[in-house]
Amino acid sequence: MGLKLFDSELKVMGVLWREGGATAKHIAGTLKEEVGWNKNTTYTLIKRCIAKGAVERSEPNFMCRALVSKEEVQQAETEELINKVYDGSADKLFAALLGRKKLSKEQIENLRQMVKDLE
Amino acid sequence: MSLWQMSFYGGVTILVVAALRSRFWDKLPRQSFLVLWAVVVMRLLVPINVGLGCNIYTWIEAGISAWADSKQGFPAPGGSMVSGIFGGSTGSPANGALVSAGEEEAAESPGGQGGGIRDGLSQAAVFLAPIGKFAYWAGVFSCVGFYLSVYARCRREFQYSLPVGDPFVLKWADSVPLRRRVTVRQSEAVSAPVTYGVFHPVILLPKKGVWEDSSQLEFALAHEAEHIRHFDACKKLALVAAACVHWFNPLVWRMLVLANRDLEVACDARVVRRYGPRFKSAYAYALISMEEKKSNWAILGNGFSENGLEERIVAIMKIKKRTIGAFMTAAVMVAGVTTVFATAPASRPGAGHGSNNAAEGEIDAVAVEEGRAPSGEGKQDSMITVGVIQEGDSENGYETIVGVLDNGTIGSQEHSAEAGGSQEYAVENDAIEGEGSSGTAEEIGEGDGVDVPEEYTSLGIQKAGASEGLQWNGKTVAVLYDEGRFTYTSDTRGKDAVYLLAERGPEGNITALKELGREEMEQILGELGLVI
Repeated sequence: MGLKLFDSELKVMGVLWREGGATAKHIAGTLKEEVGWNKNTTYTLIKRCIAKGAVERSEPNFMCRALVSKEEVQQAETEELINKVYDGSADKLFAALLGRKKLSKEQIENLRQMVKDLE
Repeated sequence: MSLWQMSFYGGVTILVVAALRSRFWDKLPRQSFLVLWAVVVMRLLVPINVGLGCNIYTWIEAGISAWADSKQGFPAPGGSMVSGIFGGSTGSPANGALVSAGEEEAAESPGGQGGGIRDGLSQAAVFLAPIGKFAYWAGVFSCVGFYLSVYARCRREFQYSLPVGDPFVLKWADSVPLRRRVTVRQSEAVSAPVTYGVFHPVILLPKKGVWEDSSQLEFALAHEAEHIRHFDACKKLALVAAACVHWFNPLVWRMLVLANRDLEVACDARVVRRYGPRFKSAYAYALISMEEKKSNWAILGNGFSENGLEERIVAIMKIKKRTIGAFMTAAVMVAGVTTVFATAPASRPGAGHGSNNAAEGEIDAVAVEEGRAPSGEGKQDSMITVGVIQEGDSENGYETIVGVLDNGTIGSQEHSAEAGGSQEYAVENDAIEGEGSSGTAEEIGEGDGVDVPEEYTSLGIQKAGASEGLQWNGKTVAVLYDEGRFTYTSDTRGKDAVYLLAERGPEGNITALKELGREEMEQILGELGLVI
């Protein structure tokens, strides 16, 4: 068992694992360069990690320290995140995203067959 | 043009487009259906009417009028009823009460022949109008709120996206021939490629599913690029806006689904054209693979998903070379559908005077009886409560304007286009001021006061002198009402006054004059919009 962290949170942890401890400000600056996130985004992620128990905060200066090691952490299932974001509601705004049902193997095969027939 | 009208015409057009689409979707370029959907959205959102005569609503109206003409002797009820159904560009005769509620949408209550129904509706509408308005806006806010919240949630999560390091992708992003800069990132939050942003478009790739082979990736990126290139985000926004405004119209939601599918297929077609028809199958297989490799959890979808993908695959495989013939057919179809279904009936020329005023809520239109022209001068100073019948159009017809003169007689005046001249009546606080030519009235009116038809005299009606109105059995007639034929009122109100209702047999012959109480007569005439 380990903590389940999403990719974005793992990025934050990555900085801490690399550098030991760091202030939130420093993490934000690093990640701004590495991935282009703004300060608020990084701060929110740090708070999420704290909430999950992966990071410990100490004052002064919002010092952050990793509470878990790399080995202890598991990749979180992204489906949870997707479900959380879309809450089951089908997208109507974005160009390609549809909240589609996963097709069964049979249906996949049927589609492939259809392509062959129409070739 | 009112909301209801836009919704109605839009809805009819949607039905037509959906029908054409299911019949011809693989025979005509998909682009043409997108144009049609654009026309529908314009129809739904833009309250302008290009009042052409050649559309289906005019034809139906004409058809019904012609039928009504042949059935009955006089055209008026059929005509005015039908124009009420479809509401010409000047609007159906507005109900004063509804218009005073201040909302256009309330004013267009379709149909309702005769004052009785209309007045009943108007009473209800005055009561319900604020509730109806509230319910409508509640619906709009709910829809808008829903979409905004979904969008906000998505954007919030997208800010945690990570850059893509893949050199292939980076190269692709640089070489995309668009004036705007496209950024490609990846996010765990999406299960299929997504693009958002109009000024700084971003393509989001999912964490898994698209990376397996580079051709799949390339197709996915190309597809998203087509969405960006054609500002599909804006088009989707317009569709959603139309759905929010017309949330009560189920056809508009259907359009949302169909139009979205068409947007997808159009992008597929563009990708295939860009790469060449040999790549049709490769593209189709790539779509299927991406679908296959999507995350395992079932995402509650919109249920049309299977159909959607199947439709896309078939559409891709059936992409044909664009021919001039197909293009011309499509152009004709688009022009035809737009003209015939998406425009509103033309303003009836004869509706110029009466209906114009009606649309501003000044006259309660009413099916009214014939009367006699008022005394020779033909110029009325003031009239009370008026009805207008249109017969024919302004070139070959005439208007009959009915009112109660201030000498107490009810009069009607025919204004024939042939006699020339124009008359305009304006109603202010129940009083009409008329001005204009008197030519016609002079021709028709003769003598003083009212000419009493013989059938009334045989039942006891007598003229009490040149300008003294009518008498019956020694009493002064305050009101004599013969439905559909004659109405007489005087300003006698005393105890001596009598209110008479003409009764007729099945063949139309008069049988009796029934004495009514004042309240009863008030009610009957009130339904016609006449005040005594």
